[in-house]
Amino acid sequence: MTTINDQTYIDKVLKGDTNAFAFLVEKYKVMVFSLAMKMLKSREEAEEISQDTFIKAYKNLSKFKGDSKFSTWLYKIAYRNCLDNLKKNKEKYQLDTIDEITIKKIHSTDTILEEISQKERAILMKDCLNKLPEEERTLLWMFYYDELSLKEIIEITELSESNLKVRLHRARKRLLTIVEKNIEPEFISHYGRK
Amino acid sequence: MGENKHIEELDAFAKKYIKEADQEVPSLNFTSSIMDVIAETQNKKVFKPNPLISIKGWILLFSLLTVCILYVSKGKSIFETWKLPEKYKYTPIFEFPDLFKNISVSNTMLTACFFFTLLIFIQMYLFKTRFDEKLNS
Repeated sequence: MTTINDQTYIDKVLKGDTNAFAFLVEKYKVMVFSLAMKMLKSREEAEEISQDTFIKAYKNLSKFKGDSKFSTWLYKIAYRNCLDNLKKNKEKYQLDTIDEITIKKIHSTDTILEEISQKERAILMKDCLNKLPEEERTLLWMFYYDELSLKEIIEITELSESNLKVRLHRARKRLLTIVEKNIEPEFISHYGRK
Repeated sequence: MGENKHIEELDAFAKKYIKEADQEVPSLNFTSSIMDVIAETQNKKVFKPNPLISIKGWILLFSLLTVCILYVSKGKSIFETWKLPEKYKYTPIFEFPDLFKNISVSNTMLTACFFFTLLIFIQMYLFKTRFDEKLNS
């Protein structure tokens, strides 16, 4: 299932060409680092965990049998590393309550977001995602940003399909609530200037 | 029906806006830092000290030493007491020469030899531990 390109480099590394691993690091560093950032929120910790992920992957490369994509296998190592780090520095979240979601509410939030520039929207979304509990943020990131399939996320997180679907839905609802709360002052100031 | 509709709308909303969030990029020397660590690991792997004497070797040495000490200190008598049952008795093809027949060692000398040997083994163990620690640090 691993792409031929990845497998070529994996084979080279296993034959002793250490430098071939640099190609894999270059290819997947942004993906791994983004996941670590989404889970840990601290740049320093994310960088440390990402590096540790690649070193672990290198040491265990012979155990990678190619049953899944190399990226999924790497993602799983990164996810486990981040979880271990979070367990060490247990952070207590003040969870935002999830308001009742209506289609009208989704449309109105969407309309307001359309009014904001793409750059501002990107900043706003990053802030809103950071306000989610780390697990919900990570699941949304995997599913919508990295476009991993449900099957791949199940393999990484070891959640059951029904459990994953429930968590994803809850995460989407909480995100909408947070976005709505965050764009209110933006919206008011925007129209106040008009 | 209504529930499904709002799940679809919510899904479309998330798909549309999460993709717009900025991707995080690691530091410029990210790859080189990893490759440095890997190179270091490789160097450590190249120099993997193997013990000169294996565990089996040590057991054999201790057994030989014990047999020698017993033989010298107690003489042949101790070995003569170990008699095989009648059915296992055989005629030896080759008679081992009694090398220590004319050698007599005092008990003080034997005790000194024993403690001296023990001391050498302790020193070997301590040196090995110390060098192992140095090499692995």
